[in-house]
Amino acid sequence: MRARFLLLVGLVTAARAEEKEADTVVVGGTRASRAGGSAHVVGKDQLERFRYDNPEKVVTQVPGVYARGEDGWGLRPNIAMRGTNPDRSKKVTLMEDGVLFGPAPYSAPAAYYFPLVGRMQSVRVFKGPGAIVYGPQTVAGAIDFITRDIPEGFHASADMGFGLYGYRKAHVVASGATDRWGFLVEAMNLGTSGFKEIDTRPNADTGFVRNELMIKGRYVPDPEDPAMHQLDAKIGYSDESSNETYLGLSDDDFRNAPLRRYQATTLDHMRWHRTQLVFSHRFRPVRNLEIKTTIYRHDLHRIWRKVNGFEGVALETVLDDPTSARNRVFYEVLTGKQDSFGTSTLLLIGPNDRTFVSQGAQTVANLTTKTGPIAHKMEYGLRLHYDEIVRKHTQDQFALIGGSPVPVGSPTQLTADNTASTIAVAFHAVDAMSWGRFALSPGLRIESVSGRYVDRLTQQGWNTNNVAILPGVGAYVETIKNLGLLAGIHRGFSPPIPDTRSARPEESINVEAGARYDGKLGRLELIGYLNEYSNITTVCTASSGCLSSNLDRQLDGGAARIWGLEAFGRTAPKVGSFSFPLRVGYTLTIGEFLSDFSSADPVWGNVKAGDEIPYLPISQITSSAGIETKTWGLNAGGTYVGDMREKPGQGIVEQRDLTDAYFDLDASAFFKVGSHVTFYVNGRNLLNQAAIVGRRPFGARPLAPIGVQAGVTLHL
Amino acid sequence: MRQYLLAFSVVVAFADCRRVGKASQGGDASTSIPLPDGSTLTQSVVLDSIGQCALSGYRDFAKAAAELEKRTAAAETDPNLRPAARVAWNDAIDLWEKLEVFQFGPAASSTLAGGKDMREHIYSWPLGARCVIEQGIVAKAYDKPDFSDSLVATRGLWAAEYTLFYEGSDNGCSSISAINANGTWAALGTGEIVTRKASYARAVAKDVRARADALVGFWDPASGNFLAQLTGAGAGSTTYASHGTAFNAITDAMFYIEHATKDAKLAKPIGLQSCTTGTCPEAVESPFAHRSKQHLANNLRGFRMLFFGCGPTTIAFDDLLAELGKQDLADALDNDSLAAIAAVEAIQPDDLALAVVQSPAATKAAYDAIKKVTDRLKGEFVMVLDLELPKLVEGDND
Repeated sequence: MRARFLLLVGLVTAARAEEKEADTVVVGGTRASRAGGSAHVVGKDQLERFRYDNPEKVVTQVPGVYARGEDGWGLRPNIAMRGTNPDRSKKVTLMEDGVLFGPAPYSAPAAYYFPLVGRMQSVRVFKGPGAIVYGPQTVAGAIDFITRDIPEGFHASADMGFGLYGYRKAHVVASGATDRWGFLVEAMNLGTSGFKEIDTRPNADTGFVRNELMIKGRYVPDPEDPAMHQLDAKIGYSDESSNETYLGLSDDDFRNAPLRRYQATTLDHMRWHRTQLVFSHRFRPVRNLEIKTTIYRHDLHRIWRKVNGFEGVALETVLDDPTSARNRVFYEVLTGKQDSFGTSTLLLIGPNDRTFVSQGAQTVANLTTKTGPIAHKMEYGLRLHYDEIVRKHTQDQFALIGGSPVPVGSPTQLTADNTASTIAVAFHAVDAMSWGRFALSPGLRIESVSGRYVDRLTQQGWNTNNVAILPGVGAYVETIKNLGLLAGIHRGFSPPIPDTRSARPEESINVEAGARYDGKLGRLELIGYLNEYSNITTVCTASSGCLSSNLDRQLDGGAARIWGLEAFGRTAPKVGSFSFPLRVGYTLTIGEFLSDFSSADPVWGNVKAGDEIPYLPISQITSSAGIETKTWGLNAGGTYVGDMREKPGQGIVEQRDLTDAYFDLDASAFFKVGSHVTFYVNGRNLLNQAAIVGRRPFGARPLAPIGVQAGVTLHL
Repeated sequence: MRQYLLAFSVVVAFADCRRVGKASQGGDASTSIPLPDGSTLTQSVVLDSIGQCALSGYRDFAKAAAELEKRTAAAETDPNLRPAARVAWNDAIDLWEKLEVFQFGPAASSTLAGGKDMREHIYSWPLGARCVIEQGIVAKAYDKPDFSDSLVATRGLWAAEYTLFYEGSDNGCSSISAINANGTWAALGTGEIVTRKASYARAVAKDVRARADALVGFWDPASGNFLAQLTGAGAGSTTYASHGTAFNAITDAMFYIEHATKDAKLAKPIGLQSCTTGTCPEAVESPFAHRSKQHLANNLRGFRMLFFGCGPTTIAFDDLLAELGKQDLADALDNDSLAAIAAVEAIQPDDLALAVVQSPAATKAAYDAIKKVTDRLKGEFVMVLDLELPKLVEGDND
C-alpha cells in the first residue's frame, strides 16, 4: 500500500469505497483521496439513497455543518459551518462546479438563491484550512455543488415523483457525447402545495414551484492533441414562485398547531428568476500542467412581497410575548380577534425588489513536479470578480380586517433605494509537498476587495477598499498503515460589505488537528478545531429580523472563540450480495463572545463577554444505515440536533429563547425492475416531530411534518 | 444581556468627592464614596433616590386618579358636572405625563425585568381604539365584569379623554363595522351616546384608579416593596442582578423623550417623520382634550425629575455627572431642558394640532430645542456613563 502522506492548506481528504467520484475530486492541486485536512464528499450513491430536495438535509450529513430551519423545504437555506452565523448561509463560500453561485457573494453574501440539490451528482464540503483555496469566506469553509457530468455515449433518464402536501417532481436528463463533442440537457420541476394552513383558508396554497433548466456543451477540437484543449459551456435558467412568508407563530400557537399560518400572511409571495452562463477552456500545455479558465455571469431578479411588521411594533416583539398588555393589542389584531384601529395597528406589507449581477473570470493552474525526493502538487488560482445588488424596497399600509390585510390607500413608503457593488481580485497558491510518510502544504490567498455603495434615499455614497493576506499551512503524517495525523492553521476572513462605511472584515486564526483512518474498511475521522476571532461580524438582514433602518449594515462583534470536535465514520461491509452502508457523524460546538457589545442585529442584541453564541447546537448527530443489493435497498437516516440558544447569554436559557432539540428520522427504499426502471419511496420526519427549529425572522418555525414521497425513474 | 455602567462603579469609586448628599442606605463598600456630611454616595443611594421620586409621583397620581373617579361618577349622573370631570382628567394626565419617563419597574412592560404593564393599563397611548370603544358603548362593555380585562387600548386615560371630551355623535368605525352596518350606533341617538360615554368614562376612571393604587402598592415598602428591589440591585434583588441592569432600565426609560416626546409626539405632527402630507396634525397626542402641548412640556418636566431629582437636594444623575467631573454636561442638560420647556410653552396657539399648521416656526423651534437635549443624551451622556442606547433609539436615523 503506497504511502498516503499529505499535507496542505485547507484541503481535502480521503477516498470512499462506495463513492468513487470522491477519488477524482481535485482540490488545491491534489486529489481529494490523497489530501490532508478536513473535507467531505456526499456522493452520488448517498444522494440517491434519500433523494433529498432540501439542501440542508444533504449538507448536514457532514460533521461541522448545521442548518437553522425556516420554511421546511430549504428554499433559502440557513447553513452554518463550524459555528458561523447561519443566516442565509452568508458565511459560507457557496459554489456550483467551482464557481461562486451566490447572487452577489461579495456585495450581499446572503444566499437568496440555491440550486436544486436534486440535480446534483455530488456535494463537496471543505472546512477549515481547505477554504483558503476557495474564498471569499474562509473562516468556516466552502460547499461546492457538482452538477451532472456529460457521460460518454447517449443517455436519457426521467424521474417522476409524487407525495403528500401536493409534492410533485419531474426531472429529465438527456445527453450524448463522443470523444469530440458532447451535450447534456437537464430540466427539473419541483413543487408542493405546502404543509401550512392559513387561518380560515385551509385550502390556500402555501407551497412553491421551482423550475431549473441546465444545458451543457463540450467540444474537444482534436482528441489526439496532447494539449487536450477542451471547451465547455453551461447555460442555466431557474425560477421560483413561492407563497412563503417571514411570519411564524407565537410559541403557544405553535404548540397548539405548528403548521398554522396567520391570515396576515395571505399576500406573501416570493418570485425570482435567474440566468446562468459559464464558459470554460481547459488544456495541458505540457504534460504536468493543466490550466482551466472560466468566465461566468449570473443574473438574478427577485421580488418578495411579505409582511414586514406593524407600524407601531415589531412582529417578533408581539410574538415573543403576546400576553403583555401592549403586545396583546397587536396579537389580537394579527390573529383576527380585533380589527386594525389607528395607525399603530396597521400592517406594513411590501416587496423587497432586488436585482443582482455576479460575473467574473477565473483561472486555475495545476502543476505537478519534483524537487529531489519531494513531490509537488501545486495549484495557482486567479479570479477577477464583479458583483452588484440593486435594492428597491417599498411597503404599504394595510388594515387587518378580520385578520385579512386590506390596503388603506396611503402612499407607498420607499424604504430602500440603493446599489452596492464590488470588484474583487483573488489569488491563491498552494504547494502540496510530500516526502515519504510526511506531507506539508503551505498556501496563501490574497483578496483585494473594492466596494462602492450609493444610497439614493440619503443621497450618500462611498467607496471601500480592503486587502487581506491569508496564509495557511497543513500537515499530514501517516503513523501506521492507513492511519494518519493531520493538523492545520490558517487565517480566516470574511470580506466587509460595501454598505457599511469603514467596515472591518471578519478575521480569525483557525487551527485544527485530528486523526483519520481511510482504508478498506471505510473512513474514520476525528478532528478538533479552534477558531479564534479578532472580529466576528454579521450583516443585518430582514431574515434575521433586523429593522429596516438597519438592513444590510455590517455589524462587528469583536473577539470571539469557537471550538469543537467533529467525528465521522463511514463503512459499507458486504456479506454475500448484501451491502450494509453506514455513516455516522457527530459534531460538538462551543462558541462564546469575548467582548461586550450591543448589536442592532437581533440575533446578537446586547452581548456580554462570555455569552454563548446563538444558533449553535452543542451536539448534532447525523447517521444513516441500510441494507442494499443490486436490485433493492432499504435505508434509514436520522439527524439529532440539540437545542440552540436564539440569543447570546450564559447559564439557564428561557424556553422562549431556545429552539427545540429534535430527532428527524427519514427512510427510503428502492426496487429495480430490470436495468431501466427503479421505483422508490421516501419517508420524511417519520416521527412527525413538531419542533421549533428557529424563531427567525418573526416567530416560531416548524420542522417539515411527516411526509411520504414515491416515484419512478427510467434510465435509457 | 446588556452591559451597563461598568464604568459607573469604577469611576464612582475613584471620583473626587464633592457632593453633599442624603444617603439613606448603604451600598457596596467597594463603590461607596464618603461625603463631607458623613454619608456616602453609592449606586444604591442614587437608585434609592430615583425610586423614592417614582413612588412619590405614583402616590400623587393615585390621588389624582381617585379624584377623577369621583368626578366622572358624579358626571355620569349629572351631565352638568362634566367640566369638573374634565378638570380632574387634566390634573391626572398632567401628573402622568411626567411619569411617562419613569417606565421602569412595575410601570414597564411585563416583557422587561420587574414589569407589570401598569403604564399600559393607565395610559395606552399611542394605542387608542376609538372604534372599539364605540363598539363597547353600544354593547355596554363598561358594565361587564370583564371590562378591566379588555384591551388596554379601550381603557385608561386615553379612553377617558375620548369619552369625556369628544362631543360628536359620529363614530370612528368603518361602514362595514357591525355598529354601522347594523345601525346599532345610529339607533342610540345623540342623547344616549352622551349618556353612555359618561358611563364609559366612569368605568374607565374606576379602572385607572385601581391601577394607580396597584402601582403604588407594587412600590410601597409596606406592600410590594419594589423600592427594595431597585435599591437592592446587585445585592439580593431578584429583579436586577446588578446595579448596571437597574441603571440601564432607568436610562432606557429616560429615552422616552427621544422616541416618544420628540419623534412620535412632535416630529410626526410637524411632518419631519412618518408623515407624507407636509404636516400631520391628526397625529397629535391629545386630539380631544387638546393638551398635546402640555403633554410635551410635562414629559420634559418628568425628565428633569428623573435626571435632576424630585427636589433641589435629591441625588440623581446630575450628581453622578458632577462626581465624574462632568458638571459642565449636567449644566448643559439643565439649561437645554429648561430651554426646551420654554420653547414648547411658547407654541401658539395652545392646541398643537392647530399650531403645527399655523405656527410651523414655533413648533420646529420646540423640536430643535428638545433634540438638543436628546442629542446630548445620546452622545456625551451615553459615553460618559458607558451606557447603551435602547432599541427604540438605536433605530433612529435623524
